Amino acid sequence: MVRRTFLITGASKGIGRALSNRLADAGHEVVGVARGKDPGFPGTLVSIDLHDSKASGQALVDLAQRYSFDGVVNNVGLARLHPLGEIDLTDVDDMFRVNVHSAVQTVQAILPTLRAKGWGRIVNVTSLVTTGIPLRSGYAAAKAAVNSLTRTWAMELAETGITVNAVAPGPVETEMFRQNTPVASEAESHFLSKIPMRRLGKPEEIAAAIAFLLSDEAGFITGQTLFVDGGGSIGRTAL
Amino acid sequence: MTSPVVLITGALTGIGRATAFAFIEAGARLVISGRREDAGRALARELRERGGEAEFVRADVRHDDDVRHLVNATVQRFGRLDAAVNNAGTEGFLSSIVEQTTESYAATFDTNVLGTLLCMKHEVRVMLAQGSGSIVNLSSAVGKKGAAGAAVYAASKHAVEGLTKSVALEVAGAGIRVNAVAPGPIDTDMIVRFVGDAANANSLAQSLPMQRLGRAEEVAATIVFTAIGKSQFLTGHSISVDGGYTA
Repeated sequence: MVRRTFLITGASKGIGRALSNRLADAGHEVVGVARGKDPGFPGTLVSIDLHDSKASGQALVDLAQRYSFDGVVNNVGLARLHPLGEIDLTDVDDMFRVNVHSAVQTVQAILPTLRAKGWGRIVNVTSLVTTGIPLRSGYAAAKAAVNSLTRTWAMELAETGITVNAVAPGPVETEMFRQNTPVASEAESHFLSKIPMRRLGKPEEIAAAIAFLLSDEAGFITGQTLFVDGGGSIGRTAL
Repeated sequence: MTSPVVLITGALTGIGRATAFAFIEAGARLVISGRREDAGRALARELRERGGEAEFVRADVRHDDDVRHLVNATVQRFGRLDAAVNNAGTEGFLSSIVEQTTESYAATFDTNVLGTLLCMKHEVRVMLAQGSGSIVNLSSAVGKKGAAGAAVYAASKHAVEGLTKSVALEVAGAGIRVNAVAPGPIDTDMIVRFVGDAANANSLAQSLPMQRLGRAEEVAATIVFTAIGKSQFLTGHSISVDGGYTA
């Protein structure tokens, strides 16, 4: 196996942390970006505030000078819920900064390195909510924008050895999910009623899909959004 | 899961053959199937020489009795069925719509659609009793997009997509996952039959975003990931391995 160096945003919790563990266990070097502390992180954890696009752009360019990156997983997410009629555009701007701007910035920071290598992997973590879930106007629009960027970048980079894909998780047992969906809440049973497998996903199950797309073997897959959602996007279990 | 038991149809050539080797590499125990007895036994020997367990069982997926026997023989040999790859397929009669006949339609749909349906019917029967299992059907990039001159083939692969999603919903609560893998143009004998000759295959490759054909091993790796990987929340989906063809 070739030892690679991957940049992961939102690396200290949930899916990002499960992925960091998995990649480190497989022998890869992991550089994580997060705001919080995480003493047990299985790699290097760098504190960059991705809510602040002005500062984070330069910080990511600096980071890309210090490591020879082979790929990035744009995993950081911010979700704030509003019913239509009460959408707060300041919140929407925040969600676009964290979910969309940060992905543009990481990719632009490491792209020269990937191009020079003629090999690279970009995986964007989006969401099942892009298929339409109430109260997610801003969050779903931001994640849908990232799905779209995935396809555009895949086409621009198709001849370079760099693949660009997205993984769209359904509801996953993470701190972020629990912020808006407490255990045994009405929101939780509503979510589960939409998932044919009738359970939440585990962070490790999403990490496995991301890790596959980062592998050498996945080199002919590009421009795809892989839903890992317990069947949540494919149809209704009963007519 | 230590050493999962995996069934592969259409295992004798192309993607099926590469998939058999990829599963042996991953430590699976295999039943491989196809219509040609001699080639099948030879491949099983080759797989065993790699240090794996592999048996050939002859079956024509168009016949219910053959498929029932294939699935039962797998369970008889290894005691269970953890994953199944329904890969047997045909490109059928590639020509314009005005050239198509009742027979050319049946020749394509009997293998690609009825074959996949019969395989799933018997595999699900066994997996329901086990309370677990994973099925991967072979779709195609033209299971999602149109293809001039290949309308019947494209229609048959669109049907595989519908079967995959529907059966996934039927069995999602029973511990069984059903997904598809949808290859684009892959460097196999089938792609040469598709476009006529190697020169045409080369110009097809140049027209793809990645400007190359895929390798059977790349599809095989995706099938192994989908069938027995740790992504157990993945069901009802069709994963494109197509160099950006459908992106």
